[in-house]
Amino acid sequence: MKRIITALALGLVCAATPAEAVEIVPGDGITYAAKFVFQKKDTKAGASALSVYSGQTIDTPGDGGSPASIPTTKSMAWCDPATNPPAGAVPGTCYGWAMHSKWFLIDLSGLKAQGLSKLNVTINAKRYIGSDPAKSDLIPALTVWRGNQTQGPLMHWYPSQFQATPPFWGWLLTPWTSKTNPGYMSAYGVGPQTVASVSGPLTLKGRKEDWLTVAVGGDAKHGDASQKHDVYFQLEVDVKQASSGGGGGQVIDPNGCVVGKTCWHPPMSHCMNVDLCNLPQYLGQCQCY
Amino acid sequence: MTFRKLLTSMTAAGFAATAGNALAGDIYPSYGIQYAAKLIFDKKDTKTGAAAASLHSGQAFDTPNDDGNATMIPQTKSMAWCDPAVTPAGYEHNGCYGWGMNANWYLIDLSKLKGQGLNAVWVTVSVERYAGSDPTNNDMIPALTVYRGNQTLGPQMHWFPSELQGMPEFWGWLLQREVFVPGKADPMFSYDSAYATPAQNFASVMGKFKLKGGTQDYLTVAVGGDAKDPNTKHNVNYQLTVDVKQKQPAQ
Repeated sequence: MKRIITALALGLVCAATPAEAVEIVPGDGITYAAKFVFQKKDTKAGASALSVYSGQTIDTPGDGGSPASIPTTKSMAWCDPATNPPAGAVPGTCYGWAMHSKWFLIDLSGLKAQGLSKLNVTINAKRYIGSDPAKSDLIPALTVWRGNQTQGPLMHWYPSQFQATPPFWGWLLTPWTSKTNPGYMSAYGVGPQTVASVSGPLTLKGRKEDWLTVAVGGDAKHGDASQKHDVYFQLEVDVKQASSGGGGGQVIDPNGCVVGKTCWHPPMSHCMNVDLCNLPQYLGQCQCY
Repeated sequence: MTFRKLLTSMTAAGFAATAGNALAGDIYPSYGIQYAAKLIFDKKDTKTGAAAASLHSGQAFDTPNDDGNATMIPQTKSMAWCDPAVTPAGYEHNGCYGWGMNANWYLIDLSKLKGQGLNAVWVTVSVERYAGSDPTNNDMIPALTVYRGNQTLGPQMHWFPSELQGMPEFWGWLLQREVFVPGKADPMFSYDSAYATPAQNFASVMGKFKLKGGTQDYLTVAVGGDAKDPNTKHNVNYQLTVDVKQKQPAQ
């Protein structure tokens, strides 16, 4: 826009339309595909994980029974060389398409007041087989931040692998990482390419800080841009209390993983949920104690 | 009905729960509202002779600092502003509600003006039919509603009170119906539809807007079609013009 004004000032353009003085910013504010609100009872041992999938219709609470659909994403939404982030992009990496990825908000803001202090959170993005076989070939990938970002312009790119440059437009988001949690994962290099998972401990800080933002997209690495297409996905979110507060507590193995819950997974250099280690594509890869 | 209740009723009715699909937590689909664009006014834009802001469906704008990546102004639907199909529970029978998701939402940012020494401005917001490349999308009967405030938080529900109905309670809790100084607006209510006009191609709202200070000096505009024909709903092109002036414009 400024360039157009500059061009006008230079006398290069004599447009029929009036000179645009008012600054116009397209696409202001980010719409999450859904918000998940967890209560203490949802975090107890044995409580089921939350699960949604593309095409599933869910009523908006208080909306008089009008359902909204969980959308599809794109096969290259998580990593696409065509996203062209601004100058300063980290060489050898790939940025996600913010508008084609699906964004989810995990609301844990009520839990601290309910007496919880530490959680274990597991988020899985999976291939989902829907009615159209052409859309049932997702290679899932996901990135998780701490925070809640509904303000500001939604730019075309996002740092799917936490690249530090250029500065991320999501100024209310910080990478959710720990010693055992890289905060993002792609299924591209893994077995049948059907599951990506991020899991780790989360220490609750208080209302406004206890949110996770998840970006879900495909990482198909198509050789030809024309192969990009809509894809179904399934998203699972499991939030559990980290310890009961009684004796015992967690036992950490030599790799830094939690005995009985997570195991070291050398191909991805992080602790993986035991349930995932038992999936056919990871079987035999995990070091469990 | 919430999803939790739905699930309970399914279980109670004896339907087998699908393996692995039991839910924890409440789910709010489509959370947070995206404006099609934000229009930021500076004092210089409000002087006599300054151009109004204008944009139309299909027009591309660069997002500042997004390295030349452009975003397109979308189309709306021919029945987005008033459609009996959206009627929420508890609605007022003498009106018609808009589709929250099919209408296009705009944010007019006047938050700088008070700090620049202005106390009130005259605001004119107009929507007109726009001729795009596909003739079947060029028959919009425009309509619009203007609220005071800025709402990016919360779930975007399916409906909105296009005629400023009081029932049911509006989900946009940061939006106010009282936009303009009473007696200084024509019409007094900040919505308009072209349906009852001969040409059916132009709708406009105008009034005097008192500046209160930073966070309160926003206008939210919902734009949609009012074709009143539920059997032929389709995409339509429009042009939106926003004029903000220190002096009252000539009628």
